[in-house]
Amino acid sequence: MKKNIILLFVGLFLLSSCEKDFLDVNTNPNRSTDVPPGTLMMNAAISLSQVRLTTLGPDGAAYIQHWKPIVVLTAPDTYGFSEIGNNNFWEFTFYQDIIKDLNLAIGLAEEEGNQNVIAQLKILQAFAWIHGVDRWGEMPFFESNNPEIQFPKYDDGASIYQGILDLINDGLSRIDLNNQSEPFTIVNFDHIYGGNMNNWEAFGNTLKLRALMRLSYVQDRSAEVSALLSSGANFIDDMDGAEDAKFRYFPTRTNQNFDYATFDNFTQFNSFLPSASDRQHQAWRLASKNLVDMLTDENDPRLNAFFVPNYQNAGGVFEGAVNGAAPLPAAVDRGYVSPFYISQDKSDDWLLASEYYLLAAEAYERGLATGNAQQALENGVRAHMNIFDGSAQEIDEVDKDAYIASLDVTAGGEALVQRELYKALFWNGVEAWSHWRRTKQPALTPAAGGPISTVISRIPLPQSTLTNNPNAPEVSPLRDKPVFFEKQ
Amino acid sequence: MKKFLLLGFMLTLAFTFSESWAQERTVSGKVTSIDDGTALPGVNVVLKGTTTGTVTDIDGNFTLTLPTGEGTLVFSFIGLATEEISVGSRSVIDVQMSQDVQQLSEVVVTAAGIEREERALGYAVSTVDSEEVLKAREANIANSLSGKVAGVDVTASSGTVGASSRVVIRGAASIGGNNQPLYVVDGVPISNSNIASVDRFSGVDYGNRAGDINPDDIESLTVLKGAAAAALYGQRAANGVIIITTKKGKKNEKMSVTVNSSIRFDNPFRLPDYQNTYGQGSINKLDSAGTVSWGPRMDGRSFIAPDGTTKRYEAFPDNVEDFYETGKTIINSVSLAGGDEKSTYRFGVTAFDQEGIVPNTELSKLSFNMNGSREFSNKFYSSFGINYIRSRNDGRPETGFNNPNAVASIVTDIPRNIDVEGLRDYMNEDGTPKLFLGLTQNPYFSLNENVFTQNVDRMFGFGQVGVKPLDWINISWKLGADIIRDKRKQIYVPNSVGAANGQFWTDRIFESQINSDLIVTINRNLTDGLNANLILGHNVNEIYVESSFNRGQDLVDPQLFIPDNATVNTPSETVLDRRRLYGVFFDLGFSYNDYLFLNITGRNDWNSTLPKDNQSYFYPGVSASAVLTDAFDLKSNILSYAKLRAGWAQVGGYSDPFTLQFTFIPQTDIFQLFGVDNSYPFNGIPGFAGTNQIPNSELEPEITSTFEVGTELQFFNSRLILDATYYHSTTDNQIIGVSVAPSTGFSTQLLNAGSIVNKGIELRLEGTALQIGDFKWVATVNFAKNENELVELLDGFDNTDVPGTRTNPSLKAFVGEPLGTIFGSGWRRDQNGNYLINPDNGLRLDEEGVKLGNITPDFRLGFQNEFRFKGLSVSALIDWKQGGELHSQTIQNVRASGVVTETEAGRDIAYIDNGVILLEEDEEGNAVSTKPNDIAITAQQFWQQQDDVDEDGIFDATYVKLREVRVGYSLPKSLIENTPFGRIEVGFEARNLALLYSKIPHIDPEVSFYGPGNAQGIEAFNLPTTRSYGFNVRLTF
Repeated sequence: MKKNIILLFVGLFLLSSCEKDFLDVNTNPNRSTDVPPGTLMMNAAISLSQVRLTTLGPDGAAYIQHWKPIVVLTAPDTYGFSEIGNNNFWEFTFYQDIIKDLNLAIGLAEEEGNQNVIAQLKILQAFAWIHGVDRWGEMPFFESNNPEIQFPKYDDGASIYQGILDLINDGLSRIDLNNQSEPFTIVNFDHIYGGNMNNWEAFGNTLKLRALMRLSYVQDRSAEVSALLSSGANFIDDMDGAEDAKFRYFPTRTNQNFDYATFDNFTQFNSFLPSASDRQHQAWRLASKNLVDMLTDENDPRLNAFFVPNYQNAGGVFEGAVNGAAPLPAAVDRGYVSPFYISQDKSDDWLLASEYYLLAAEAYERGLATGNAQQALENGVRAHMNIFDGSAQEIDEVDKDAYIASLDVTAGGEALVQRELYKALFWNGVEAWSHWRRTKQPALTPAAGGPISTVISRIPLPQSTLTNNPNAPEVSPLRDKPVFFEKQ
Repeated sequence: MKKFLLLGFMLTLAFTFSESWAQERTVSGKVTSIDDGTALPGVNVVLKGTTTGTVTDIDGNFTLTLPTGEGTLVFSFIGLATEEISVGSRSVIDVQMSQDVQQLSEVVVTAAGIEREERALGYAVSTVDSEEVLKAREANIANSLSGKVAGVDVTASSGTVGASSRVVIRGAASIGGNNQPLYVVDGVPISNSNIASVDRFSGVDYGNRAGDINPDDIESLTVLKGAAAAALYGQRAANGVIIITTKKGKKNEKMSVTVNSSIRFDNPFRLPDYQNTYGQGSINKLDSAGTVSWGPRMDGRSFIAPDGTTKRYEAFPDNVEDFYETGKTIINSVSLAGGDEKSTYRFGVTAFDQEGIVPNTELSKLSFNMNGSREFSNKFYSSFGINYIRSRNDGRPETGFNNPNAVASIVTDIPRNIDVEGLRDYMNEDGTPKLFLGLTQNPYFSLNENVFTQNVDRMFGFGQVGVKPLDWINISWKLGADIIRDKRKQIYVPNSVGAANGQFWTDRIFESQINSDLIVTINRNLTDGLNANLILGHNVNEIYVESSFNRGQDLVDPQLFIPDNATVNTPSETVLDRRRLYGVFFDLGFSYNDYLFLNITGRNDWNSTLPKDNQSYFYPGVSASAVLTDAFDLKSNILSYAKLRAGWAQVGGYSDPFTLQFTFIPQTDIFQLFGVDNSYPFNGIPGFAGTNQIPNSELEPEITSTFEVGTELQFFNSRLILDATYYHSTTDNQIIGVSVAPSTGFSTQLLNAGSIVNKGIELRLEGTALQIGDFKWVATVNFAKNENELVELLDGFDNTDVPGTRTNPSLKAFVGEPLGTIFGSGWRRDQNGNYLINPDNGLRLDEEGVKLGNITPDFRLGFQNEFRFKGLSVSALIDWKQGGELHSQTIQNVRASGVVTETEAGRDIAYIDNGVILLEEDEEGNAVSTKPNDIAITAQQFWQQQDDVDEDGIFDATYVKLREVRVGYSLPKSLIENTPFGRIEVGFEARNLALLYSKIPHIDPEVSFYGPGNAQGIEAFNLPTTRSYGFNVRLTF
């Protein structure tokens, strides 16, 4: 029996005695600890583009009455917003997927000392920050995204804009045009410019102009505007859009425009008319009365590029729908945002040549810098009209010329230039909303049926930051409190 | 670790050789039962005042060599009255032993299958026997504990087939971690995972895995409540342990076959109180595509429905009730058990077939349990037990809202003029679905076309070998395993809302757990009356869980749901859990004259999930009990038994795996609520993202310290029994993912932060209220009150999120409050409490960030009554939960939809809300000037404004339920004497019969949207819970 006991013990001993690394299992086999910075930039860029296309853009467009949403995503028409969506944007998309992932990528690039990579990441981050500060007004900037600081301090809008300008300048100063290859530059993983640092430089400079002009009614930044415009710097100024900052989409189901996906997915509910198989136009974004009247009055040929009439409307003349609580035109009389915008491979337009020219025109006209305002205005409008070239909504050259000939900056003044940018920012609703708050052009009638009696000025801070950050204000400013850069 | 093993081995040897013998004469005899004369094996026979003794063999025989002279032999066996026999000059002593009535069912199974007398325990335990478990034949065994054990809180998620349930013992001790007890079957820990049941809005409740356990195979269920009881199970038992012992064959028992057959019917326990005056539409206008019932009075006019048919505009008062079907469950089981003098054997098979109350939902489970044991002639013994469960689920509804496939959210507020019968025909002839209401999906389409499935194959069991080299040493090794394969598929056929071209999700989850326990037990009588029992143990445990997930979109063949057929696939592989642990432990117990007991325990764990330097930690425990009636000979006609007990113990806790360092997560897709997801690589470019938690490379184990004191008093010959416990438990150094400001770039930071206190009392009062002849009425009250408080958090933090909720409302833990503050939006009021009204539209103004209530109940009480008359027994259980709040999204929505009775009033008139119009406010949002409200709104506006404001969804969650009723009848022996049956029992069983009291309208107050996680107290279109009733027949051959 003793033999058996000893045998049993030896057996148990062998079985339960453990290998030396027995406890060494605390590394997740399905995670990485080191990745190329470009993969993080990709994730940040796509997150930004998604939120622009599915939320920020449509919301902004409804706020400033570029179009009127019906059936889906209708809340912004009366200045409503989703608390959950707002919180998710702040917490997950903005500070995590966008700002943090870019920070992590910058950290990786700094370890390698790749200056162009850092420049790309910082310019993209600066572009992203503008979306945050314009939406919420005040938010943590300088102390944000630092794991050492649990409660980042809030910064006011003016300081954040200065921080954004510093980020852009830092990025621009690192650009080395003579070394545009991997790994010094993100090339293969750069979905925006494919590693073309000349274009990144143009994007950085144009973004800087956007930021400076944003401040132009509340701060005197004319010296910087003037220096920038007269420096001969590289801007996004190609009239064919070759330098435009865009997030491109493709006609495949895995890489398609996020906004289009919503329509495509509801075809059985008549998101397209007349039917899912015969898609003449989408059905849920109507031409707004505001923009239809404006374009009609000004004989602007973009009326029929932005919108199309109902497929049953033989005459082709349509009626705008009033934003806010108001009756809709009869279906056959409605105008619809055109297929140019609601298509599977429509790019998300971040910053176009038209904006560069129109901002420059405004600066010249207002005397913030010296230059030919009329010429810049004409270039801006033409650059914008050119985006339809090659599409079903292409504008005839004669129509372009005729319209451009009707523009007179001397007569129209800065308001004319600003209204042109308001139009040129069609389908870039988030920037259009910022531009409108800055300039208050054109005059808009606030939507009826909403909780406020003015056009919405900001989105309140999400609850998560008010609760989890003692440095947050007691209560959030409400949506009718102007943000700092607004012209009063 | 080898060191400890060796130490155990050497100790064993040391004891062996220190024994010396003074042999003078031999006494032998046989021990039998006084009841039926059968031999009693395993009875302890000890010469009083010495350490000399033996145990009886399988035939009840014993032989003992004793010194010459006088002496007394003490015969003892758990459950039997101890006999003391003077030896005198006899060489043969035969003894008959009788059952100790007082000690009956006081044997409890504690750690690692070790049996203990309850009187020896310094902590509270509760045992629920097989009969009790089977009383109402709950599919999920967790539910059968409800109201039966003081301090055990059970919450069922919903009434769907295979729904999950949550069990918490003595309150939640962790904000983010697991709060549920460890489940142990036959000494082996098993998984109770609940993987990804419901996300923020909707999802599928795939059940908690403890629900796999077949109630028909359970012999007893013991609840160890405190850390003291759990020291031997280590850190996983910090939240208590539910020890399940499966049925076994009995030694020396002839083979018996038991056949049990049950049928049970289910229907919805509670549905909202609907109005039947107003129908579909808005602003008093009929809208045939509308989803709300704010239309005009239903006057019988004709209208064209969205599907093109002409309908009459009239009420269908039972339309929601008609949607739900009568659920049906049939359970058949056969078991065979028996044993000879050295072996036992049992084999049981159970088939469980359930059709849910939701159309086209079915669950069938086949389980078998097989176990056996064998004693070998050379003091070796071995046993094994295997459980296999094959669960097939065809059709499992999606719960929640914001999802076109979540049927409850569509059915519950379906317009009052819609006849659900008419919806059964949901397809056009060309195979496209008929238009329903706006963008919602016909629920019959959802249930009949998008049939979700879950197939679980699970095997758990153990093998054990042991040896008793000497009669006071027992060495055993038990190896247990639990292997689960859980295959889930959710399909959305083309033309589903949100998936126009079809899609599917597949998730293949694999779980495994291996557990090894090597235990050496040494039991010696040290001196007269003083016995020592030392347990040395060594434990190894490994858990591994992985998920292989794919989302396939855009199907080529619309009916083929495999990746090969999808144009877009986004697969991902995740290791959900991977941890290893080993521990060594001891339990040293002394007993003095069987009335004074002392236990000292200690355990050291080494845990893979903690940083290398902090992987090892030790935690001790001590407990004592005294049976005062025996110690001081207090026994009287009034006081028949009195026991005092006290214990203190610590138990260490650990974190999830993979939390110590920064990592990058490969991205597979970019989720889009409506529409085909974009997926990586995007334009050929892969994507990675950082984690959303700040890791902690210096994490330390958390420690729970529990003190408890209790007493058990029995009066009037045990006709009245009182068991009372007070406990105080502190969890320090708590491992929490503390919610940080999102502007840090992270959602949480993993920290050792904070401490949580749970303290409370548990009372059990059991009395024979009436006994006249054969009639007996026994009443039992179980009462438990737990106070829970987050005592401290990190400096600068006054709250953190309870993970797993959405933001509106969310669940938070605030310092100084019980865990589970419901936090969300509320109405703004002026200093006098008047609602502030928006001057622009006449509606109330709201604000975010308001503490709306707390989910923690004040107490729970179960009141059980059992009446017996000969073979007839009737029992009824009343379950009372007092206090705590609940947020109900359903109630807010049925009101906003205008379908329930309270929305009926005032529809024809303009309405001016109570409140004052806000004219001016200060920076903090306080009203500076106001004026009386004079803006008229409609009833529709009034009810719809409260839909988004969480405050109006808060209700007191108190309920009193008639939980269980059972009527059983065992046919008298005389009737079945000439049949092959040994026993015939028939029974009527019912569960959740009535809601006797509740302050919540429309819904069952006892539900949880997020399933068994920590995010409790939130309800959102849970499928209705069920009322069940059925019949049972049990035949024993």
